[in-house]
Amino acid sequence: MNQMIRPMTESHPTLSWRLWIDRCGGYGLLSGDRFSVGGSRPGGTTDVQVRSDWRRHEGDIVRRDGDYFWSRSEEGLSSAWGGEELLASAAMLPISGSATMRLHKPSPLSGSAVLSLDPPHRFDQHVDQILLVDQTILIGPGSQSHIRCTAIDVSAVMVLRAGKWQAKLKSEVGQGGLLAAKPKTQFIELVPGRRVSLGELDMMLEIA
Amino acid sequence: MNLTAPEPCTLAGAKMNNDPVEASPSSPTAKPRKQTGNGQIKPVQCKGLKIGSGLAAKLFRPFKPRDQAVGGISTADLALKSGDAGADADRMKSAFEQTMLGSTPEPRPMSFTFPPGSQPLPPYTIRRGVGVGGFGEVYFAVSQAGKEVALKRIQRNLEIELRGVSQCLNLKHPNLVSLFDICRDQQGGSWVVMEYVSGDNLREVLDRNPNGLSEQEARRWFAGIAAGVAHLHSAGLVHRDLKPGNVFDDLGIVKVGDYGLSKFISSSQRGGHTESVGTFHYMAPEIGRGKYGREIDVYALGIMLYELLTGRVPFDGESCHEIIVKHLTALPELSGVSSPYREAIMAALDKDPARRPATVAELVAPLGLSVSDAVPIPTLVAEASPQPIQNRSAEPELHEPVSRVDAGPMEAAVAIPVATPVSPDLIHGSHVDEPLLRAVRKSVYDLRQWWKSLEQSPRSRFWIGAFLAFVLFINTHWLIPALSILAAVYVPYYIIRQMVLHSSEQPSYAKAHRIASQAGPPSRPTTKHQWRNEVRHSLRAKHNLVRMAELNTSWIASSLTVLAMAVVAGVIGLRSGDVSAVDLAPYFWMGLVVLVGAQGILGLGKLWERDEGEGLPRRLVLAGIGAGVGLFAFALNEFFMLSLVPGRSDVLASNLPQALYHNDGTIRASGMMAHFALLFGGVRWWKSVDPLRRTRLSLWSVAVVCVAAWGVQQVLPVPQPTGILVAGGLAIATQMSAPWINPRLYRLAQKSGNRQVTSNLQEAHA
Repeated sequence: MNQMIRPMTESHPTLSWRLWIDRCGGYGLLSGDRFSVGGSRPGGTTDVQVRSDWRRHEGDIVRRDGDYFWSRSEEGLSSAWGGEELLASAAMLPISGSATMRLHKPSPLSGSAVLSLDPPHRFDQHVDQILLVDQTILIGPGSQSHIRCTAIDVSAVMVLRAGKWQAKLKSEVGQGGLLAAKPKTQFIELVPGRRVSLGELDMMLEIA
Repeated sequence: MNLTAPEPCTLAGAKMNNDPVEASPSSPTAKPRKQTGNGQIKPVQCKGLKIGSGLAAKLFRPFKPRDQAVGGISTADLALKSGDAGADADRMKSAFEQTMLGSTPEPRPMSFTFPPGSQPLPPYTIRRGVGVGGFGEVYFAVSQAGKEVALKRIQRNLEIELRGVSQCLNLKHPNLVSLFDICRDQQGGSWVVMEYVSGDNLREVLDRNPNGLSEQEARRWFAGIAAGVAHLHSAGLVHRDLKPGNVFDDLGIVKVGDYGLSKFISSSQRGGHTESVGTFHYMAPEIGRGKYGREIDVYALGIMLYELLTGRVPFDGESCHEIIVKHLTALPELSGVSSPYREAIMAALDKDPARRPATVAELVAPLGLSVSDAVPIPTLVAEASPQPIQNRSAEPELHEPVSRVDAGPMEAAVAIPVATPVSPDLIHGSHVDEPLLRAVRKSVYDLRQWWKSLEQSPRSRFWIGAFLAFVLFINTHWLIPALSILAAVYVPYYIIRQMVLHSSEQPSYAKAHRIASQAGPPSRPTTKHQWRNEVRHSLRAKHNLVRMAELNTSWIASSLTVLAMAVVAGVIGLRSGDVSAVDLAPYFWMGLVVLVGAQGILGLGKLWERDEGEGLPRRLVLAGIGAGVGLFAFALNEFFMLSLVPGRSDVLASNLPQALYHNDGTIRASGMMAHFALLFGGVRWWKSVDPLRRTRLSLWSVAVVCVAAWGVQQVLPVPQPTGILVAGGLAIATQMSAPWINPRLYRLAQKSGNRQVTSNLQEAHA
């Protein structure tokens, strides 16, 4: 039986979303500056849950001044500056267990980071990657995109403003050069539960 | 407000009421919503669409970048002829069409019918679209209990797809993507529920590794593919659409997917298939004939093994048509592939399916693989990413995992015999196939190894080196001439061998030319370059028998031309006075020399008409032919007792080289050979006999040859005026008797759309 998802009309102060992009993947979007990480358990409350042998709460990823730090949950170091370890881009998180999680900061234009798991592990909620959002994320085929869709030629920008997501196609200099007529792009709001097309990009946002 | 829930849809291609929200007024929102009806055949377009990455049911990535290089072809281009030729064309058309069925590409990505969150097939909730294949859309979906699956909605070619899938539903093998069930939704639509594979497919892996995979990795992939295909065959099934896009790496296990085209074929039942399928680069030549069996999978495995090792397919081209003709005619270039892979690929790609390995096990056995032990052991440790991590070198220790299950490298877990690493030189060297050179290289390699083994005793190394240098030095008087002679023999041998090997790419199927001209390129050539390419391609596709017949015709024509020229020259030269045998002898000499030279040039021209070719090797070969003609000319000169006194040379005057001329100034045999060798090697004779030359007879090129002969005369004089007359006669005789395709008539035939005329023009250009 077909089931409809009603678009949300009122704003929600939710800090966690899921973004499904056709021909690309599923992504968890987390806003904030501190993200708890742990293994996936029934009733788990951590922001990033991994289907693995990790403990329920392994630690926190903290964003400070655009840098990311790993704060272990044990030894009471989670709130102490001395217990945090700087996470460079493409670094593996120092978590004991079978899963290997990496943090990437693909674009210097945005402080957002991407969490990915080496196979065979996967995130909870069936998403492929988790994005730690710092206002802006980039979608496109290039390596500097947070969401890399090699199957799609267009690029887009998603911006989180006042708890609402907006997106627009990224304007690029086309083959016609700078003087060529470029399509007019403008931000549109991504309403959770409503599918949106941005050029070739078909996507839908969900509240997690 | 646009709701996301879809209206009922039908397999017949009814309107899908699920337009996405228009994001931007100016964005290309008017996406194609082509819903191909059941069984409807759309024009083939080799240029494919992009499909999402990293997900299982990228089972339907029809044409990835390799295929995108292929030009489009439409059914309209497959214009059929009547008669016998039409039957073959029918079959080829079927091949094209069914290839479309298997790999229908869209002109551009289209929105999926069902949005995330919808439940067209309870209890599965669609999370996102994955791709669009030849049979319909593929979605990533999750059941109510959280099971991840891939849902394939069959929209096109329902019967073919369902027949294929139903044959495979109960197959169980670790190297096959599992098919769970076939379900119908409330609207009667058919869905295939199958295993969701989250890893990359082989197409993506190869795209990231354009030079091919490492040997170990290639073996891992190939062993998994072979095991999966062998299991299909053991169940009486033929995959029929094996290609990298249908092979996945699921957590370290290689899995073969997309059984949509699988067909039940018993070992004794092999005939009369009405469908021909596959993807161009991996399509066996017999598919066009409609009679095939599991050998087409063996053929595709051979292609994939080649691609795994080299990063490229053995038969590529700028159009589907070109690729297919190469499948039918060309031999794979295997000089860059080491043994035993070379032999395995050669066997798998045999044009005759009966000569291919009968089973997959037979194919992989020489590689040290077995279809029974090819299944890798799952491991929790991922293999290293092929993409370099940006700051791996600067990675601090704290980023290393504290502990993890160290299962060792993937290869250790895989029950595949690990072969000795092959030197990159051997894998990618282009000359390893030449036996003498290979032997020399091996000897040098052994010598180097022995030399390295002496590192422990540098003193003995020094003395041995000094002794060898001394021995070489005192033997230089005979070593240098001996090596020179060897080089003089070997270099022409090497060149001719390369050329002969190259010519072995000639067609082995008589219908290749007809196919090439019938299937035709997607668009008519508009420029001279395009026209030349097209015609050159048709020349390449000719059967050797046709080529030989044309050469015989040219030789006969050259004989008649030379006879006519000799008569004309005789009439002019002997127009007055009595004519004796002595007076006639020079004309006979000239005629025979021109005849022999022209026939040699015509033979080489026929060999070289397939491509533009490289100048230097051709000049060297022509020089060799010229030397032979010179020897013949000298012998004939002696036979007719003609004068051997060369004409005047402004450069040499009387300072003639003694190796080529006697002391009395008469020419030796070597001198005559050198003269003709220089004349043949100095002129691009293959241009004169190229069927694509501008005019049949170019007086300008005759003049150029005469000037060239005058130039040669200055450094290597021969008796005149016969020397220059022979050169001019050669230029005329070769042009008059060599095949020529009139570009004007060819274009006219094309404009009129008459491929038969075009084909006939090509076939009858001689």
